Amino acid sequence: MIARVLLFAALGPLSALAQLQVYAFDGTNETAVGSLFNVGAASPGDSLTTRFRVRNIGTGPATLTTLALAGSGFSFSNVPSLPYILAPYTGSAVSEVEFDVAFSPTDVASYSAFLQVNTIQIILDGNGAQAAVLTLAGSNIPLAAGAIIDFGPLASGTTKLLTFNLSNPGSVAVSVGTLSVTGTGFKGPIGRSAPISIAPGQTVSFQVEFLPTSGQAFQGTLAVDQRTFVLTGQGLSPPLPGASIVFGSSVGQSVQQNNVSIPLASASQVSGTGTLTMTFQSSVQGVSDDPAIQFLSGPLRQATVTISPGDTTAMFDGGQSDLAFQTGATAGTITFTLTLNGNSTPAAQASLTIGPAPVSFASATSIRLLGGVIVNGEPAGVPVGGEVDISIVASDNTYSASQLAFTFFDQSGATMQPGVIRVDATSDFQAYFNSTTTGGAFALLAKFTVTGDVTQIISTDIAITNSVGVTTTQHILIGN
Amino acid sequence: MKRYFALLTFVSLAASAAWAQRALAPPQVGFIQDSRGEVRAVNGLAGNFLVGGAAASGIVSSAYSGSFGLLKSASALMVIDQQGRTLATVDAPSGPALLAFSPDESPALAYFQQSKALRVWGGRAFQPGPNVDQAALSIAPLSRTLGALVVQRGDDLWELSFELSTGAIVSQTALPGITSPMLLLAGGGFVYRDAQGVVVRHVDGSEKHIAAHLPASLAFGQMGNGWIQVTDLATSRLFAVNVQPGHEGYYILPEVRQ
Repeated sequence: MIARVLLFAALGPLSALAQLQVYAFDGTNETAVGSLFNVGAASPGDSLTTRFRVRNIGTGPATLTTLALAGSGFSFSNVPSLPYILAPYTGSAVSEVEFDVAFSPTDVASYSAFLQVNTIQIILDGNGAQAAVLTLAGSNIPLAAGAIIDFGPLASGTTKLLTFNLSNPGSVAVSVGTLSVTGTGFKGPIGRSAPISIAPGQTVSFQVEFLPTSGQAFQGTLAVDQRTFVLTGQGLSPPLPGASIVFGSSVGQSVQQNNVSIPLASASQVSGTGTLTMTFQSSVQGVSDDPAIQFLSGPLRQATVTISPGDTTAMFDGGQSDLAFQTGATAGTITFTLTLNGNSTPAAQASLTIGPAPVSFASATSIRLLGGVIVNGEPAGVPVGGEVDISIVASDNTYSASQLAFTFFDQSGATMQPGVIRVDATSDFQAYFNSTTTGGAFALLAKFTVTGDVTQIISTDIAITNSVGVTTTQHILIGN
Repeated sequence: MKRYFALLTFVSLAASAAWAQRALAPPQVGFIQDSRGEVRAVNGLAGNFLVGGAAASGIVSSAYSGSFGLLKSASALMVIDQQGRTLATVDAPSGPALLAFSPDESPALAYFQQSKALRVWGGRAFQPGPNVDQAALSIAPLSRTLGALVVQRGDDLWELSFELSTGAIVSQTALPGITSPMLLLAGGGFVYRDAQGVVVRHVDGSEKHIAAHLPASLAFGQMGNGWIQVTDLATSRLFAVNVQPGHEGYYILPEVRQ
């Protein structure tokens, strides 16, 4: 194809009379443009943009009214709205105006165009130069300079290769002096390195690798000599591995210190954060909560967990792989819910059911207080009369303790009169449980008066009844 | 010889003014001292603790017997009751103190570590005690007239008994194989650490091992009747050891939350 060349007569006098002056600007330097301006060379399929500036070099205002371009391979890519009034140039950017002309050859040939700026007429010429054509493997469409090559979404930690072809459709050999890949997440060229000489009709291939390391967008650059191409890709965070909630002891009991851990189904490839929340559903009527049910560090019922790449267990604050908690002293269900990365759908959930249980004794002690006359802190005379005090520390996770039974024994193990002493403490317990904030734990003090020789009382058995059953201590020796 | 047969009669579970405590009440484990110098009640029972609000602050040393406590501030020695109320106060030299109780809670001792002076709480008032010219690691009353203290001599610990009235040493016993920290217990015996946890040595020489993952650097203190507070000196985390025979155990105390 032969490019059209436009010729115009009498170019010189018009520019000399005009108030306007046209400059070419390469981003750093500007050059006054005369009647003929060469925009340079570009490969077929590429585009070369030239920035022009119009400046008022007269002493009075001037108006830019005409901006026209005619010629194959040239086009405006950025023009101001006309008319455009230009003040006399004082060095400020506000007294000039810019427009761009793109040169996009389609063949290896010479090109020219006619550019008119008001009365200024400029011939633009450019060359369609022989260069290697870049295409993606499997495609015959040449990639223009500035084209975006998208690798698409890819899980971080994995890689994707794209194959590129550099071909020479011309009749003489072309060479590529620069072939490079830059930008985080991209690697190459693989398989070829510059300089590369490509014979007519030949094609050489190389690859570029996308290897995202996180779940974010990546951008890089492929440079082929003066042409650059934009490489893009979206890293995707791989999902966190499955998590489960495991208790140190799976036995659901009141008054226990247990611990919870969160093993992962596999080593995590990514980071994550989450929350382990503890909730309690009481099974005791009228009791909604037990404050002793709590994590033993950090917030009472909420723990932050973190997962780092390589972790096989979620970690709690302080780098602990497990977290201790108390089960309290109230029957019910303690539920642990794990959420990760802000997802409201639980990643895991597990429960400990604390069943109703008979009263559990933590300690039971009994002391004997002698009656009679006390001299120097010691009983004088016969140990007639006195008192036996029984202290019990226990828990009733049903809050239903009712009947107490005390049996006292002498040295021979025989039951002492009046035999089993039964006490209905239902109302006392209910009054206590209605007012306490310590769950089903209680301390009980029972006092007995003794008529006769208090030293004969050697031991005692204590039984407490609740809705589940009766709990009886073994012989408790009575101390002094 | 005339014999008096005993006959028992249940009185009641009602409140007793003489005992100044209700018949049914939340069980109290004792009092702990946290890293901020605040003393807090611990209610509940083994494995089911509830840490209360600050009952006292500015405390440098504290111990609790189960029915009353001794608190040492910068300049005073105080006695508190089960509710944390101050019952008595006396001026005291600055610095920390070792505090100890006898099984029947009288007398209780305060040993001021800087001045090496003793104060004796007789149940109603403080009495000045002798100066004991020893750098004590732990103290305990042995009787109304005798006290015990543990000192470091070279690589070994020694238990010395002394007269409460004069401070004169009356006996000395080496404690081979025992290293600081250790704590003399009310009623005799002591607790110390080994590689597996806490060891309770009873008066008869028998030992009870309580498995525990103890912190590398710790201090023992009495937080209640049969309860020892363990303080992790690196992190200030608090633990509790139940040393009551038949109930021995090591527990994590809930973190003190503001």
